Amino acid sequence: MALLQISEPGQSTAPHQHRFAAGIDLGTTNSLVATVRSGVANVLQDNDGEAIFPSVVRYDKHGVAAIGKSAREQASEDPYNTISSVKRLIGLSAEDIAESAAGMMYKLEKSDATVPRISTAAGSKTAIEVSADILRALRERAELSLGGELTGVVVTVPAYFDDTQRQATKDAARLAGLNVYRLVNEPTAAAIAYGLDQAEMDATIAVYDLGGGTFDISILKLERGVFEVLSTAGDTALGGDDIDQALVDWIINQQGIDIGSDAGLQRSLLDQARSVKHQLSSADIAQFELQHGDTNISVSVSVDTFNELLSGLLERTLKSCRNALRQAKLKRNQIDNVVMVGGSTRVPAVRAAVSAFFEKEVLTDINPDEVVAIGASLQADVLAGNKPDSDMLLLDVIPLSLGIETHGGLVEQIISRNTTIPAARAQEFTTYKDGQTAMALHVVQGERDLVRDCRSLGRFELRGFNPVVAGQARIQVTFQVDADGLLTVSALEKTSNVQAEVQIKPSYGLLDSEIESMIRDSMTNAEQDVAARMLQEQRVEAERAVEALDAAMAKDADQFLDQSEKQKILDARASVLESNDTGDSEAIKSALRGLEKVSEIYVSRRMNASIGEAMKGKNIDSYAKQDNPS
Amino acid sequence: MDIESFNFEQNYFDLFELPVSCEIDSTQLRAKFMELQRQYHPDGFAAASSAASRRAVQITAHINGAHQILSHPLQRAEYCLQLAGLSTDAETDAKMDNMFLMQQMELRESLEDVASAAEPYKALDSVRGEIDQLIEKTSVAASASIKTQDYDEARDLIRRWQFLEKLADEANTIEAQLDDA
Repeated sequence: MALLQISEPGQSTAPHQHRFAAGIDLGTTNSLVATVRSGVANVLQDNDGEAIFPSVVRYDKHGVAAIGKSAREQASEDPYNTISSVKRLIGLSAEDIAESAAGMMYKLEKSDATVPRISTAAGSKTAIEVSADILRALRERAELSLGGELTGVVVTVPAYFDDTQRQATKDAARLAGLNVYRLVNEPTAAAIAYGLDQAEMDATIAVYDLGGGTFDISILKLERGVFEVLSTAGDTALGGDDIDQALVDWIINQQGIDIGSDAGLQRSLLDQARSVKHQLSSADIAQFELQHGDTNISVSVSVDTFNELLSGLLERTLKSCRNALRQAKLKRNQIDNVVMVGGSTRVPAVRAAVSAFFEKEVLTDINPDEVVAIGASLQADVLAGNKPDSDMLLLDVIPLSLGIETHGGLVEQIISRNTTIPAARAQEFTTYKDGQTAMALHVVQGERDLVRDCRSLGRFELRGFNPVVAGQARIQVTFQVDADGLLTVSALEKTSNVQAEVQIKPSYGLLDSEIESMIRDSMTNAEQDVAARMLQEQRVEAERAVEALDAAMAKDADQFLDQSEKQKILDARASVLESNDTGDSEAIKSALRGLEKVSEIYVSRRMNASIGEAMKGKNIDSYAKQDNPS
Repeated sequence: MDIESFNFEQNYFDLFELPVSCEIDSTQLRAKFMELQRQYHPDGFAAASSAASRRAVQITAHINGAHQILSHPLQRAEYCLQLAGLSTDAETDAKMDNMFLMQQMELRESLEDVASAAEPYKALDSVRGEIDQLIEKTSVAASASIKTQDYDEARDLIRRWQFLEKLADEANTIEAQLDDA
């Protein structure tokens, strides 16, 4: 970096030079790019005046054959090489996707790689690469329109995205040659779009975002220009695509159509369903017309039928709304504004249901497709330093709790969900065995008590600390989450000063629906978790007791015990080990009590001997010193 | 914006320019929190060196942690006690009188009965009302003992308060289960 670029934080080297910054809404179905010009935020359009850029890429043997609108139009002709809804895959492992790809058109490669690859005519592509192609197209649109290179961008992500998904999104942007100022949650961006003009007003806002593929509800607090996310909830596998699918399923059912493996027919049905959905936003009845090969369909769909198909889906969104309110410790009537985001909120039945739920008119002043991109562009403009007097500050929270695996597969929670970020927390751990010189730390994300029910983010090792008695080492583990929600973990052995650090790599991520169900499960399974935790703790305690006993007996059993005493202890030890293999925490507990009882005599004889040993040749002063370590 | 000289050792009350006390001026806390955020948030260093922005992340993380403790009444009381050199860890003492333990058991049983009550939400609200009242009473007393520097008394009260907060958490879990049912 050139020396000239060094400047005071927040100050530009050339104050009069305007930096080109943009906000990008990288959506499941559609993407948009917006920028601030002369103080006004606007979405950027293509030559046909279209702002919406379908998140679709078609590949041929030369690479990207079509992208955006043209790719979507060609989708029915070449379904296997046309990649859409790739956002559903970003940051996920091959294993995760095997489940979620059931409804996807394109083919996934069978391989051992942790990052899944989609096979296309242009070779295999990861979700990150496909997203990067979309971002590159948006970047070109912006640079053409602005007449210069972009200095930096703000990219939005769903509030529910975990560490690996955020990291993967950032990687895609970097791959597209973009400098990411900040990842911002989509609902937060929407609130920025609405909030800036009223920066003097304090308000509590609910952002209801029903997009193409995800549903998010976020409760935000806006106070003198500061946005704070109080809570987020949602259903990450629910959106406009599901509305279309519900309509297609209804048609298939009603007409007795067999799609078989005709991916082209499936595409055409979905395209027609989308068009019917749009018509029903302003009409009471619409005609579903389709001609594809031998299949001829002509059905009229009434708005009542359509609303009925929607009702289950709407109820699921409202359930999430109740959840978010509870987490924010608010009642419905404490919400001042409800912001509607996402094309699906154009459906009148959706607006009506949300309005009825919050007992309030919902905000729809800003185009619900554009509102996220507009908010992102306003934030990008501030971060680029184009508004040095701006008071705007964006505070965000972490969407899922972070923790570390402790003995017995239990999770020690370190940073809990909805903590304001950046956040850091240090926790001390100790060694489990005498002379232990290394330790493996396993970092997980999720709300459950057991490691196997949470998402594994990464593992790292701490080596080379001094061998000491079990329980004497002091290992301080620090979790740090930056403003983008990305995690760094460091560990320090405090007596020997050995340090280790790990950056979580996006080798895999959470299945979309997993995050939501993890949170749900943490509530319904709380009871089960308590029992599982108790059993696990009991087992660890039993193992420890046996280990301590073995170590002692190897040293001096013969010195303190006669043969029958020794045998009694060994019998009790055996029954502890036996009970430990059962899943019954009560049995373990009682076996342990038995062992403690028969060992009492041994313990007290050892202790008396060691006190006698320690007192030899010492005076009172040296004890006083020991009382006060360090 | 002097990020080099930020003092991580300063106690949280000093950081927010507040007197050390259980009772806190929440408006002042909020105002100072905003001021500190504006000063140190990494967004203000988006165009600065990576070392500066890393330091900004550390500082804001520290500020956020301090703010979380000071804005939560129980955590704040625990922190006051900690500043006075006392620990409130669960294992340090088990001195609970029988009356209190009895009351705890009763409340816990009432919570367990909520799900099977004829009007579960009403039943929950009534138990919760009781818990909230006890928390209010206990917190006022704890705060008074800290003020008069009667730390042993304060510690006992805070231990009770911790029990009550756990009950309040359980009430929330039960509400979540009711909502999802």
